[in-house]
Amino acid sequence: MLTILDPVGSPREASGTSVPIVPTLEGRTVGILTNHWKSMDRMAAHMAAQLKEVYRAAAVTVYDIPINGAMTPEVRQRVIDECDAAIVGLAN
Amino acid sequence: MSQAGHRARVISVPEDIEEIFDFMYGRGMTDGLPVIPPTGERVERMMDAVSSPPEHVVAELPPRGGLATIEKLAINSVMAGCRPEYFPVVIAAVEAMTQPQFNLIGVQTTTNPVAPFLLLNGPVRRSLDVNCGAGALGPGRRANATIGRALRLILINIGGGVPGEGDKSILGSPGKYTFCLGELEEESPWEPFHVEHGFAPDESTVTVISSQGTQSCAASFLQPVSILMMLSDAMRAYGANSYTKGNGNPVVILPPAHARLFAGAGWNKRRIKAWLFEHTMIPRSEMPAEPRLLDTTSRQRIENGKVCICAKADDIVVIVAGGSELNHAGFLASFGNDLAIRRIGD
Repeated sequence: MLTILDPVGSPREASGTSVPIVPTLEGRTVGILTNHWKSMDRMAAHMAAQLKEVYRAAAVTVYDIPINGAMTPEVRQRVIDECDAAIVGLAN
Repeated sequence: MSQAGHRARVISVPEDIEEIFDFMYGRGMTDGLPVIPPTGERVERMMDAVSSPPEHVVAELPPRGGLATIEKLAINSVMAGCRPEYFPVVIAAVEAMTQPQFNLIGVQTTTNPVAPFLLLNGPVRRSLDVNCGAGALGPGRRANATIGRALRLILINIGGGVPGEGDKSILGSPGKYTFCLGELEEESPWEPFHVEHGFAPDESTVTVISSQGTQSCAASFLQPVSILMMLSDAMRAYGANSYTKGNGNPVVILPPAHARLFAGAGWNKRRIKAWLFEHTMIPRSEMPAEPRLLDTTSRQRIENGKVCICAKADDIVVIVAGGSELNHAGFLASFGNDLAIRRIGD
């Protein structure tokens, strides 16, 4: 037998500081992050309506994020400060 | 990035070279082509080319967030067939790809066929025997082939860009195997690309540009505007993401004969870029009225009702490379993210 080294990389181990699960969306403020693909705009509008009508969220706030990358630290802090939960992205 | 990562796991494999390839292929560790077995000795020789310790984390690569330690980068570079002296280029390319403006998570996970195009400048091109001339984007030269391939193996094995899984590219592209050339600085009448970006001529750099593939223009003309007319026609294709996003770096590759012809007629890179930017605008009225589901109209760069190929003329990259004949200028359409450039050996 021969020995080789594993080329596969793993992520950092989780720090264990995840935020608590929100038990209900009723009365809560939910953020939606969108880069404004047309498809995301449609989904965001649909989700905002559902969050209010079905899940009785108190408010839904939409945040703009860049088309070419992650949200800015400023937007991230606003989401943390202003929301109880956030929808941060959808696949195509 | 200073936090130490873990050392690589040792795996026992059969000694037969074909069985090793079967083993690694079966575990999704390759690009589908045979690899050099990354034995401890080979990986040590690769790492000897740099001073950083094996555990040093160069970057975290999306979408998996895998830790790109010096050791993991060396393992994948061995597999790709790199010589140890190529390793600083691989590291600099990884550092470049993880600059925020390059948006590596988008490049890795998109349905687009985009791949990182690697442009090498400076003395490293000669010391590593990088092909800058005839067939520079084709097969045959070890540095071009294996540096680009190492990047792909790194993106698969560390980043998790596994086709159909983390990598959602609908078609993929040959550029996802390797996509690397050097600028033919010695035969260019203009300053090299890295000097345009503030580096000294005797510094070596690697630039990563998110490119969708290659388009050839059989521009066997003697007048600069004739060549530009053909190039701009190839570039005016609004299927490219740079039109959608109003951003990015379309790349024009001029063979040296074209470059000399332009320079002799008084054209510099800036004038070429300005001409191409203006003549690649597409009237919005020529596009379908229906907005695409993936449209980002609000982000498009529009001037007087015309959609632009990118944000501004100077974002078009013009470089010199290729064979000696006055024909076949090249164009690489942009995915719509901004390029990143790093000095090699920092």
